[in-house]
Amino acid sequence: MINTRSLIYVPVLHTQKEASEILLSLKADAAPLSVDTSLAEQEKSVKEMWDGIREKIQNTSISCSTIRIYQDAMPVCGREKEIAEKLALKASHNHQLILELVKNGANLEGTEDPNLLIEEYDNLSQLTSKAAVSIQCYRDSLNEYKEKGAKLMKQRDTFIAERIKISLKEGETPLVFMGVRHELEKLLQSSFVINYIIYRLPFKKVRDIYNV
Amino acid sequence: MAINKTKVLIIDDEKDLCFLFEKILTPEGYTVLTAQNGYDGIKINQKSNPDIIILDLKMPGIGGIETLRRIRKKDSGVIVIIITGYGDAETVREAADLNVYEYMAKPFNNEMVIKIIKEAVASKDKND
Repeated sequence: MINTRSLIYVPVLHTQKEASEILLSLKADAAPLSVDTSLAEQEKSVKEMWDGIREKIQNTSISCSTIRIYQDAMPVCGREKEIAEKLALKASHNHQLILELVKNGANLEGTEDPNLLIEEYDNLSQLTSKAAVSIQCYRDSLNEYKEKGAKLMKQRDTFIAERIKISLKEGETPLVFMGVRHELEKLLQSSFVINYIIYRLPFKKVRDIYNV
Repeated sequence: MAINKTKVLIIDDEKDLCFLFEKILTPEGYTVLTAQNGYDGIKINQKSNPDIIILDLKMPGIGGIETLRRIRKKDSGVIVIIITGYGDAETVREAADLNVYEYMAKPFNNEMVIKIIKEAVASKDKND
């Protein structure tokens, strides 16, 4: 039987501030990460990216009530909406859009293994602590972070793909917001017809791309 | 770098789109060069040394990502903006790895493209 179930995949970028906030939301006792918050231009470009994504989602013919949302770094924990609300209040455009969709009837699904996300938090935490030492120290650590993150990313993607397959209900369309470093689509293309929503991805404005 | 000295190379097999870029960028003071395939794009890049390349992904012959790989072997500094009607997660990752300034989907907003080009020029000025 040919499976023609469709999946909407939205590759996204998060600012350093946003990535830190997302990972901070996982740990009650997490120490704030050291981030460069002086990047107004970065914030502006990322906001435009989300405005464009919002418009494109609105232009699809899919009813919100049939959408199940899967979100990068959203742990399976039973308080997914609470986390989205907390991050939306901290100006995450990603989570503000999620809440709009949920308000219109979409379901938000816990997406990631919390333990793997804690590992990701620890890795990012180690990296951002280097920024306080020197730019060179941070740059050296960024390569280490990427190498260390590759194995973890595979584990995260395997969990997410399985999560989508088991939690999706009949008649629903998965809407997947995933950071650009994920290779999740490779694990989904045998089960779904993937339709991409891309508006703009301001790589240089965002500068360093983290694994969220 | 003054805008009127800025050269923008468009690599896209759609002639209409190349024409559109000429129409919107020339009045803004940019010098616009065009190539309808990757091979010509690589040659023009070597010969004319543009400041910015606007690159399509889906083209006959070599595609946009392979074109960019070949350009990057000799020119790591040129600013590249990808504009595609067929974006996917894999080309997004490849673009990020190939140091692309921005990845945009077609159809695009003319004003947005001009704004991004101006920002890219400004960032080049800052780094030069």
